Amino acid sequence: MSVGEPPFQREITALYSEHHGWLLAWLRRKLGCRQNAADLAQDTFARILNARESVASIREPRAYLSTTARRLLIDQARRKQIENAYLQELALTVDALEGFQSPEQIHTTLEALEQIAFILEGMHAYSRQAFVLYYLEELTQQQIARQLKLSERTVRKYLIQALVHCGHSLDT
Amino acid sequence: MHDARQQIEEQAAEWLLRLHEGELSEAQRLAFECWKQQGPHYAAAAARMEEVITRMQALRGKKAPARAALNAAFAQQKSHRRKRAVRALLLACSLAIPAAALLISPYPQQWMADVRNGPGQWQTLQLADGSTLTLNGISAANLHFDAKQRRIELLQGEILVEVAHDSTRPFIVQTAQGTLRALGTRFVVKREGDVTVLSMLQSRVAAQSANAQQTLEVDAGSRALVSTHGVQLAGSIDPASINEAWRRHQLVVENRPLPEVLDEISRHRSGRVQFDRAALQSLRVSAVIPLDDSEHALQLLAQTLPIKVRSFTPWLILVDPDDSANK
Repeated sequence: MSVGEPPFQREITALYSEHHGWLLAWLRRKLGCRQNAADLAQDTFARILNARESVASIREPRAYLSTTARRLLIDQARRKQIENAYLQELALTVDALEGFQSPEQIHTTLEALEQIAFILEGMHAYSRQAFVLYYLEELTQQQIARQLKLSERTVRKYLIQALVHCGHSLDT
Repeated sequence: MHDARQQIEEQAAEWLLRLHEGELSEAQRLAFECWKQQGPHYAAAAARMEEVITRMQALRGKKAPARAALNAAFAQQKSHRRKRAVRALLLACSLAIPAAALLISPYPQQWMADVRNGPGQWQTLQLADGSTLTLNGISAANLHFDAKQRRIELLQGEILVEVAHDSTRPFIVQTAQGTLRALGTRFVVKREGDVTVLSMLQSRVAAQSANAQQTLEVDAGSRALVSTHGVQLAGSIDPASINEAWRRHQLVVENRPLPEVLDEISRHRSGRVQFDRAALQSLRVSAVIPLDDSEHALQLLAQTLPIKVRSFTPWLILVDPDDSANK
């Protein structure tokens, strides 16, 4: 792009040249797939371009880019699925919970779940299942092995992989 | 360089897993600290993983909904690949499931009931002996009809019974709390928690508690509460308005606490109506409310009472006291 272009495009160009390489590398590590990472990085900039909001004032461009990428990966349809499943189950189990969940609490939890879904995205299915069963459901590795029909050793290996993956997801 | 980093991450994961397994002695804990001190990447890698673990653990108070949400987030991707396999499996299992389900059912007994009714529905059944059975809202019953008996086992919800005369076979409605033996008659039976509520519209019923210690004859126009250890009369009712309410799918309430009315509306909805029972207990309702349109019913309540009704998706409606109090 040349000097004669409007300021917004110049801002985007600057953002792109400074951070595209970083975004691509991060997504590649997270998704473990070069092609998907390249597509998502491209879509992220396309989204910002279409929004046509000034990007010059963004204080933390990398956080902004990673949030935009997250919103693309866990898109509206999937956010809706997360929300529906959560609320439906909550409605069924609410009697067993202590006290009353305010709309604010529900909102906060849904936000947290969406972020976790993003972190788990790209994880091997067994790793993801083992990770959720271990750290959310508090099953033992032995119980997980039985449930997933794997050896305990394999479950442990998947948990290690899951943790490594989690580290990559937050490594912005 | 990348390999070295990968190695650090795997070591960090190993440490954190061991920490969670509760295996670390004091010496090992010290070794972990030393490991972290080796360079900025080390401690940072462990901290990132710990951060995710903490976020997962924060959801433990809402385990079931959180798990459902995460399953839903990843269900879509599986479905493409697995749809075909699942379909084949379903076909193979479709013959085996009913037999297995009868042996040990993991579901509440209502799911296996002879007759079931859903939210917002009214269902009238003509029984073999000429009696009619009407179910409303979320209700379920088993029917035991043979040469010797006519027995309806009410598992959940509310039924209106109109009994056909048959001097050889008694007509009985049974719940966990007791049995109601009809003496030629029309009546409504409802399960409300630990109590069975009998509303007599016509003729009489002999109501007996489950422990068989108490039997009471209840006449038309009376209401009785049956619990496992007793039967007691609980005021009078107007049979004409109850007949009319069943016919028009309405709820007639007179001076009842709002939470009870909300419970009743809940029974006619597939979603949850959530409210703070204590906060709403002091509000009393006298009204005729449409039960086949629960949205409208809640709107009507919101118009006449100082409450706020907010809907979050079709599954969740919250009812709160309206503190602005300008009504």
